[in-house]
Amino acid sequence: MLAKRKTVAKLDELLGRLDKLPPLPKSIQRINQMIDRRETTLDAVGQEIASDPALAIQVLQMVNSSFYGYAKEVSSVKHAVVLLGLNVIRTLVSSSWITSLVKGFSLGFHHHSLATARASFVISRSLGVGEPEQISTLGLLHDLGKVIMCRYLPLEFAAVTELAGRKHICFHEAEQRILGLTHAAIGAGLLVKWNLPDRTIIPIEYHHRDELPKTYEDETAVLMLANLIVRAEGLGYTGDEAMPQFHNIIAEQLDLKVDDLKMLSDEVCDCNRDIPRYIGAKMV
Amino acid sequence: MKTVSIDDVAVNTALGIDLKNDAGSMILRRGTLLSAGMITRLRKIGIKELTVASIDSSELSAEREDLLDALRFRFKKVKDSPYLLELKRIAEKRLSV
Repeated sequence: MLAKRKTVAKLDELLGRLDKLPPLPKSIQRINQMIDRRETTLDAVGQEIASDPALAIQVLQMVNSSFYGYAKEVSSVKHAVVLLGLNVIRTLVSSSWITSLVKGFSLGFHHHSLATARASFVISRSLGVGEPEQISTLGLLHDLGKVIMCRYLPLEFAAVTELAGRKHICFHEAEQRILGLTHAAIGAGLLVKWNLPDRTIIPIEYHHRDELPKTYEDETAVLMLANLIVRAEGLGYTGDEAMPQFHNIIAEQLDLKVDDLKMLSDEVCDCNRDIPRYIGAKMV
Repeated sequence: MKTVSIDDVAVNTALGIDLKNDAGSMILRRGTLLSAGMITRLRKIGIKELTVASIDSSELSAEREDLLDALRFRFKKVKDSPYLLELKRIAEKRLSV
């Protein structure tokens, strides 16, 4: 209990130091507030997004990504809102801004985030677990804490990277030794501040733990597996060079056999083949 | 170019010639990179052999060796997890073929 309190205090202290972090843009805050209101209609949210051309374009780009697999191009924001639902739209709208932070961080990292989003989508769909569109947003955001740390806590980030490389350990293990918490906690803490829903925050908070949360267990297990397959296949770069552990809770939760991995890995690689072209890089 | 059994075609191999059905309709164009899904579907429609592009350039081999080295380094400490060892085997095979 005491250790948990210390971790929370450390997280608060670190998040408090992120005072330079820009708040979510007002247009995005407004859309999130609309979605929170019970009486909000899909039409109204669609109109609000459409009134911000840059945001509208980003939402349409995301919904038309090949991995959503819609047969026809979605050309109106209103249609995108109906197809994806308000929960997914809320995360995508916030992601569109967060993605601009990620893009500036590193191409390899952007590649890893997109690849994990697509992997989460196809695993969710193949195993019939959760909502693929919703789960894919977890992949997009799962390592947000690393971006924040690199940008706003550069000394800590450099120390973690150095330790992870020298000891050939995972980034989150080095973070735990140096900071006493991980990028998963930092990212989740920030998403709480930005009022994203628990179904987004909780799986991200747990994605490196050896236990599943009491809610959103399926989503968490899919995210963990997607991250492992993407890293095994070397899609993108995460700041470290060691494979994370495979926790048996993933297999138990998803009723996953070793033999199932070939089909899932093939699907993950298939749906990620166009990413270097998509993000404008030959090799990342 | 070489003609190989469809069971030996690796994912991401480029098709060497246009692939057409018996009626002459195009199935896949020359140069298409074959995904696992495509290979499975071709097998299902009765294709037994494919003519694929030769990819023995030294540049590609060197890049592949680098990727294999990086893969082995990532898995250096993995010893006893059957799931991780299977993921390694799958990724290694994808790069080796």
